[in-house]
This record gives sequence, structure tokens and C-alpha cells, in this order.
Amino acid sequence: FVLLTQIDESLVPLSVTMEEKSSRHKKARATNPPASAQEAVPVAEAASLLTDDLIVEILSRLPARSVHRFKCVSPSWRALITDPANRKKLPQALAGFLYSTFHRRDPHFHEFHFANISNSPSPPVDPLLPFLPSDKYLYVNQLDTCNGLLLCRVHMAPSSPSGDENTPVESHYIVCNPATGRWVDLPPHPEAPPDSFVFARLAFDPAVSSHFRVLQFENSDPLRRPFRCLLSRYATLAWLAAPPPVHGRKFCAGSSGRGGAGVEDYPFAFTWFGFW
Amino acid sequence: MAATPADASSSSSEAVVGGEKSNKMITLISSDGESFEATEEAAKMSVTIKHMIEDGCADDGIPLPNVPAKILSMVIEYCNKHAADADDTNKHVADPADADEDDDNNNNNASAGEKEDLKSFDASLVAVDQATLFDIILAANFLSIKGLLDLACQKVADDIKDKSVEEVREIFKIENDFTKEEEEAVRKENAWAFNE
Repeated sequence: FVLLTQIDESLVPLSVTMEEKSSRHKKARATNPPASAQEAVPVAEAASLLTDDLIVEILSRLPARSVHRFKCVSPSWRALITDPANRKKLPQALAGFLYSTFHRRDPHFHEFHFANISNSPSPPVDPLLPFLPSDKYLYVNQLDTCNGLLLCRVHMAPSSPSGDENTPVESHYIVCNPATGRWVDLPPHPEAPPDSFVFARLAFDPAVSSHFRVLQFENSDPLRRPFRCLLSRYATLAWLAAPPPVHGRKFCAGSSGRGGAGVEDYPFAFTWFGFW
Repeated sequence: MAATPADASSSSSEAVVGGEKSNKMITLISSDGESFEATEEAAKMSVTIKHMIEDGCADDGIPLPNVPAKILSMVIEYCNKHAADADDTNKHVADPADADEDDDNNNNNASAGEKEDLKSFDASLVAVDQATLFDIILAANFLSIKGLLDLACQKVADDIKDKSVEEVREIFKIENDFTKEEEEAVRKENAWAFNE
């Protein structure tokens, strides 16, 4: 095959595959009568001849949803799609990061931003959460995100305009999906003692359950007393008190992809949070 | 590959902007032995063939053992059409009287009508069954014709975009090697990608 030895260096990887297959074809065709009827390669063969490079070429022209759905086609497609070498060509599931900065004028408030790392020119998430009713919610504080969901504390606009400045602003938690615009209010939670140190975290892992959990940690005296934890159960939208109080002088909680929030100095908390 | 005097003269009259164009015809031979003629200009849309011509291997026709006649004729159709378009572009660039406000070679030289014509040509070329589409992809890949490869891959992508996992397996003739548990796990991990 004089033809094949002249092929450019850069074409060799692709041509090698072709070479192997073509010699098989050549043998088959030698015994065929001269073609007057056009002979296309039968479907089964054509599809199976596609190299990995060619499959990636096709996949790179699909939207992210399709690409990630097709991970289920076969183990080899899944390997192709998740291969870091193909990351530049294929749309990725991670679109970007929500983050907050302190408001320039009033440090009590945060400003929210979205860092877009997807290839699409228009960011898929608007950090201003325009789907939330702005006449109802005065200020939305973004607290935690987990696997595409966002936990916020919303501060209600006063229902009667005559409220004076000292009237405490009502607030409650909501969980929303900034990409689809859906959200749900969580029921009001039991009040923490005044001057408590309170913070909340969101736990959500779609691989395990389609329900999220919100955990609220509170402690009026972090140096001496243990943290109490309340958690929400989505199905009943009620707050349950956590069984064992969590001790920990250094509190470091964050929600992970496995849907847990961890507490330093108290390792057993991880197993407790590991899916209920 | 000693070049014959005839070859030397034809390669010196290669296509040059504003210069004389080579009228040399190239013979391409399909896997099933059929011969097709194409202008050198059209044939050179295939980088593979272009290199062969430049290396002087094209004298007795170029055998393409991977490309059956039906597909080769479509490929040549594509090359003829797009080589002509590229030629028009070159002509416009060469003539200063035709200079437009935007000097973008690739966009403004074909008139709107020509662009539409090219688009609909492309669309009808790939309006074929899956088997033929895959054959075109394989041929465009082997012959290194980027435009045709892009066109055919995009068509396949458009066709499968909204298909289910099972349908995609059917189209690509893929065995499902997952165990039931593995497949469940992957589906759950990517639940967001499936329709609710």
C-alpha cells in the first residue's frame, strides 16, 4: 500500500485504525462482483468503526444535559465523557461559583456574584435571584450552596408600613434552585435564645436522595456549652431537634457532597449526618 | 517519486490567487473499484489527498480503500461545491475594486443568496440515514476534510440531542455493559440531566 506510507505524521493515529479495518474490507471486497449496486458499509459496522476521537467530536456538539445523560449509555462512553483529557471539548456540569462580598457601604449586608466558568457566554445563574418576589422579601442573604441548591435567609418586608425601626424584621429560610428558578419556603423555626451564635448549612446529594436537609446550629455560649442542632425534613417541612448535642470548641461546619455537615472535635457527627 | 516533466509543469501552475489555475483532474478510486474524477482544486480540500498530490503519488489515481463509491461521490460533491465557494472568495479578495467595508474574507464575499445556497446544499447533503452519516464521518475523518467532518458530526449531534439512553445505544450499536447496580448509580448521579 504505497498510499498508506505517504500519509502525513499528524494523520497517523487516525489512519492506523483505518488501516487495520481496511485490510479486512479489502479481502471481503475482492470476492464481490464489480459493484453496480452501491455497497454501503452495513449499519452495524459503520457505527462500531467510530473511533473515540470521533465520538468526542459528536458529543462536543451537544448541550451539557445530553452529554451527561449519555454517561449511562455504556461504561466506555462514561469513561470518555469523564476523561479529564476531554474536558476542554465537552460541556461541563459545573457552571460556576456563587460568592459574596461585603457591601461597600453597609457591612451588615452582602453583595452576591456569580463566577461563570462554563463556556456559555451568558451565565446560567443570575446571582440576584430575580425569580424571588422582591416585594415580599426585603433582603435575601445567601448562606450555603450544595449541589446546585442554594440556602438563603430571607428578610420579610414589614406587612404594615407603620412598623417602627425597632420592630425586628421577620426572616425565615428558603431553599432555591437558581438555575430553574424554583424555590420553597421553610416553616419558621424555633427561636434561638437572644445573642446566640446561629448559622445554617444545606445538605443535599441527589445521588442518595432527592430531598435536601437544612441544618441550623445554634449556641448561646460557644466556649462553654455544646451546639444545638435543628434540622429540617423536607417531606414534612418541620423542624426536628437533633438527638445528641454536638460538642466542639472549634466549630467548622460545611456541607459536603455527601450531604453532611461536619464538626471538628466530634467525629461521630459525620456518621450521624451521613444520610437519614 | 521522480517527477516527470509533465508533473513539474502542472505543479508549477497550481492555484494561486489571481494567477492561472491548474485544470488538472485527479482520479479517485473507491473501495469497490469505481473511478471518480475531480479537479485538483476540489480534491485538495482533503488534506490527505493534498499531501499525496504534493508528494507526487497521485499520478495513477488515488485508491481510497476505506471509502465506498456511494460515499465518495457525496464527498466529491461536497468538495466541488465548497471549492467553488472558496474560489469566489479568492477572486473577490484579489480584485481591489470589490473591496467592501468589512474586509472579513470569510463572511462578506459570498452574497447573502450564495450563503443561503451553500447552507441548503449542506443541509440536504447530510439529510440521510444514520448508516450513511456514519460513513460520511469516517470518510471525512480519513480524508481530513474538516468542513465535512464538522457538518456530519453536527448533524448526528442534532439527531441524538433529545434521544433517550436506550435509543442512543440502538443508533450506535452499543452493548450495555453496565450491571444493573452500576447503571442505577450513574443515573442517580446525573439525575439532573434526565427529564423530570
